[in-house]
Formats: sequence, structure tokens, C-alpha cells
Amino acid sequence: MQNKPGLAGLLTRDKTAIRPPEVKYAHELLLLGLFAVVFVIMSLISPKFLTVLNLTSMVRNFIEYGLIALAMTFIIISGNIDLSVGSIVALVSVSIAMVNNATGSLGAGLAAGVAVGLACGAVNGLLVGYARVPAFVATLATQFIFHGLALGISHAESITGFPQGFSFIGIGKILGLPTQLWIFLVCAVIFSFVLNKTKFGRYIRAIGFNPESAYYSGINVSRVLLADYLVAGLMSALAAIVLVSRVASARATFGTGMDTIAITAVVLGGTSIAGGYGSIRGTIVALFLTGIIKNGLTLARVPSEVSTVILGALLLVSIIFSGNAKSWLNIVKVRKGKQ
Amino acid sequence: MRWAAERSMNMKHLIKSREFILTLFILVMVTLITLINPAFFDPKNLMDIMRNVSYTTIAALGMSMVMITGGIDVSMGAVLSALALSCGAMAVGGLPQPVYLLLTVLLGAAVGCVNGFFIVKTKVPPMICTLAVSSIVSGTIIVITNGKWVIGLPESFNLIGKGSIGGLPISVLIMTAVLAWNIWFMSRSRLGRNIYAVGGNPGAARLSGVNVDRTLILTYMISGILLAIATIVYCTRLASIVTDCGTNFHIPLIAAATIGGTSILGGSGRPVGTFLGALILELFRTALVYLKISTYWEQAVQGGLILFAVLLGAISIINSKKAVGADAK
Repeated sequence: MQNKPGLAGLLTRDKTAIRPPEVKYAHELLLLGLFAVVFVIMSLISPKFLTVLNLTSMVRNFIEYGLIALAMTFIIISGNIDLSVGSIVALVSVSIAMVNNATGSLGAGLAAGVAVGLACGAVNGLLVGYARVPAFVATLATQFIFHGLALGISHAESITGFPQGFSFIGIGKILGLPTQLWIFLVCAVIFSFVLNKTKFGRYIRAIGFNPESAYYSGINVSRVLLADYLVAGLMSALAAIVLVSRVASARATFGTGMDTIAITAVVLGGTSIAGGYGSIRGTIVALFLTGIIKNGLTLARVPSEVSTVILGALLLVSIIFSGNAKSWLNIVKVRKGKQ
Repeated sequence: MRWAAERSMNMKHLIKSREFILTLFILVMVTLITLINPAFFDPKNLMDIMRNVSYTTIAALGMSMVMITGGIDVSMGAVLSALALSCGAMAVGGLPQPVYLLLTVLLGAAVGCVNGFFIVKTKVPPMICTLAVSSIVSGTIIVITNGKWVIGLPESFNLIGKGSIGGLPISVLIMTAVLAWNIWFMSRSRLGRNIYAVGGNPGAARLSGVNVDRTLILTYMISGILLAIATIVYCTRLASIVTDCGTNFHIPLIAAATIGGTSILGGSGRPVGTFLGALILELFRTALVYLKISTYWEQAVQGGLILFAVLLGAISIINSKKAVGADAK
């Protein structure tokens, strides 16, 4: 099997006979069952729940996390983590708004936003893939840097002044469904395809299982990780565009806590925090579950801070009971061996 | 002869050490800032800087201990807010000063224990575990306080933060004591040596008879106690305690430890380096003020410094590996 040069080579179909480990739906079914239970309970408790207005606003709220969670699934499967996604959202939001106001052209603003997102992803990817800095430290440092840059260039002020049409992405509808839901569905299909059917998907699983053996079996680990983080940067930029379009303003505080929720959805969806395996469909089901829980708590007049507490607890519980968490000490040992 | 040879070896080590480089760097920075603005080199201003460094150093020593075991604690910011609020609330409630200070320290130890216990028993990566704890704690704060500040603090509350003995601020004296204790603890005590052993190679530590789980839990507990002491030094300077006073407090702590030479992979790091790291951060902040750069850039600078220090560490690891390889040949 020849490895085609260039990033594009990674997206060729994976034609080898070896399939990923046998597909297990048990976890997803459990989550889906939970989702159904919560859905029924919510509709019985609150008359406001089962209304088009509420369901639409619920979907609009968590699609932004969802776009990031898709990319985060790839990153966690590869045995890494990205704590900077929330800060990338902040920096991209602010850049879009500032370029838009400076040039008067929304197109230039969006292009700048995507460029900034990709640049942030490239920084992370170079640090993790090439400089071999452990992902949690590298992305923690870049989290501070990106957020600091967003604060610095915007002076922590809220920026507005977008043209009318821009709000279509954030509050518009296509065929009766929120625009961002369509964006999310398209992305989900692409991500699922890439993870299950392309070489890239198999490479990130291999790297997640064991970066050393992945390296010795001829995978360009550095390049794959760089691509992985570029994707995360791109998806963060996309999430920022949707978010800015929905609220029609940009602020450096946007995106705070997004990383935690994205990681929660991914881990709850059955992706191993130690890397090696995981699925996009698991992430999507978990995302809907967390979204509905958050929405339910809001309808029950529980303050949003309490739902933060509950989601934090959910993250811990899902990691502990997923049975995936390998010993952290083992992971450290593997990393040390690599250095 | 032998003594002389040994002494020159020691000198070489000293000059090559991280602490020496950091000290040189600090001297250069102080000179530069003084050139920009001579008002900087005023005893009162220098004392203010030391006051600011004091609580960062105390908490960063705890962070450094956690990082030496191969872990990290991003919940320190949220926990600092919680400790400061409860300390203030107890003071307003009329408890005698020694009692509420002691209770704050015990609370810090308890939170540290919970963190350590979770990490050891569930094998959840410390990063994720403390991230979850952080969101749980900061949410709980809002629920309990409803966003209200703690006000109406008694006069005696500010004794530690603002008072001084013989011209030296009490906070700086506390920092000196904690630093001295930590230097002894990390280099001479059994638990301190075990911490390095666990961070260096947990498997080898276990085989040589170290109780890894116990060491880890104790490390998080001690770092909780240090955080509580830092909280006391910090919050007793304030006139009222804001609910999010500790937000992002963990950033300078991680920065101070990594700049000071604590390895993010665990196994190495020294208290004096951490102190110098905290001092450098404070000098950078002062420099930003004197250069009339908005303080909004501070966080970006701290992140950049962490990254710089981490990359420096990565390069030195690669170099030492090359040297080992050359020896083997």
C-alpha cells in the first residue's frame, strides 16, 4: 500500500481488508435510550418543551458545540486533546468582526476568520506533531495565547456591525430546519466517512492506539497530527461563524467553556480518552443528550451555572464508567518512551 | 586537587543551571525596566512587587509539586475563588481569626485530597479530572453566593495581607518560610524524594517500594494546603471578595512552574526555579504597565512564556538524548 504524498493522499479510500474492530452499538443504544427517556420526561413535565420554538432554539444552541465536538472526536481518538478550541472561537469571532468593520466586506471578514482558525490549528499541530510537546500542555498554553490575543485586539469589548443577510446562518431556516443543523449534518456525514472509510481515519486510530508502532508501520505521525489540528482549527472557525451570525456580535469571552462541553460530548459518546477508538455517531448521540439535558434544566428554571456543574459531573462519571480510561500513568510512560 | 576539581565541576553545574540563567534574565529585565522608568527602582515599588509575587509563588510551589508527579491542576483558579469566599464569609460571620484561617487551610487540604483521590482511584487523566472539578466548583460558587460579593470584612481581616513586621510585609515573610520549607521538603524529606521518583518513572517507583497512590494523594493534599495559604495571603489584601476573584489564577501558576524548569512530563523541577519564574511573570506585568501596553495582553504574554519554556524543555531533552546516543556509540 503506497502512501501518496501530500495531505490529499490521506483522503483516498482505505481499501485494505482490515476493518476497524467489530462495530458495537451497545453504547450508542444506551445513550439513545437515555435520550428517549429524557425526551419523554421533559415533554410530560414542561408544556413548553415540545414546541417548535423551543426545539429549534435548543438545536441552535448546541450545534456550535457540536461542530467542535466532531473535530474533537478525531483529536481524542488520536490520543491527544485540544483545550484551545474555545479560545480559537473567541479569536476567530473577534477577527471576523474587526476585519468586517475595517474593510466593510463580510466576505473578507469570513475569509480572515477561517484563515485565523487554520493558523491557530497549524500552531497547535506543529507543537504537538512536530515539536512533540504533550498535547494538553501545548494546547493549554495556546488556549491562553489565543484568548489573550482576542482580549488584546478587542480590548474585551463587544463588536457589532454585521450586514443584515449574515444572520441567515444563525437564525435562518432551510426546509423548515435551522440552517446550522444542515451545516452540522453535512459535516457529520463527512467526518463519519473520513473516520471509517479513509486512510486518515485509520491512521488516527493507529496513532491513538500506539504512536510508536504507528510510526514504525510507516505512518507520518507528525503530518497526520498536523492535519488533525488543522481540522480542529477549521471547525472552531466554522462554529465561531455560526455563533457570531446567531448573536450578531463578537466578544473575546465567546467560546469560554466550549472545550469542556465538547470533550464531555465526545467522551460520553464512547470515545476512549486514552485514544485508539471512538465514533462520530456516538459523539452525535451524546451531543443531543447533553443538549436536551441542558435545555431541560433551563426550562426547569435551573440557573445555567447549575447545569455547568451537572455537565462537569457528567464528564467525570462518563469517563469513570466508560471503562476506557487506561491508567494515566501508562499514558505518561508511553509519552516518555516517545521522547 | 580533588576538591578544586570538584569545585570547578560544581561551578559548571551552577552556571548551566536553570536558576542561574533565570537570575541573569531577571537582572537584565530589572535593568531595562529601570532604564525605561527610574521610578521602578524604588524600595516601595520593589516591595509591592514582592507582595504580588508572594501568593503566586506559594501556590505555584504546589502546582510545581503536582507537575513533578506528571500531573497538572487546572482547578486551582476556581478553588482559590471558593477558598477566598469561604474565608471571607467565615470572617464576616464573626469566627475568631485563627479559627477561620485554620478552617480555610483544612478546606484546601480537603479539596486537594478529593482531587488526588479521584485521580488515583479512577485513573482519569489529571487534566480532565481537574477540568471537571473546576467547572463543578465554579458553578457551585455561583449557586451558593448567587453572584453576591463578600463585603463588610472585619478590620483584623487585612492583617496578613497588608501588615508588616519590622518593615517586611507579612506576606513576603510567609512566602520565604514556605519557600524554605519547600526546598527542604523536596530535596531532603522521604515524601519529597518519592514525588520525584513517582514522576520520573511510576513503575520503577512502585517496584522500589514507593506507595505510588499514597504519594499522589498526599501531593495533591499538600498542594491544596499551599493553595489555601496563598488564598489567605491574597484575599486578606482585598476590601471585598468578588465571586470570580480566582478566575484564570492557574495560568500564572503553570507559567511560573514551567519557566522555573519544572518538566511537564514530571520527574524534575526545583522550588527556587518556581520562585524565579513567578518573579519573572511579575516583572513582565510591570514592564507591560510601564510600556503603557493594555493589561488585556497579559494573558497572551503568560501563554507565550509557557510555550517558550516548554519548547526550551523539549529542545534540551532532544539534546540530552543526542548526547546519550553519542556516548553509546
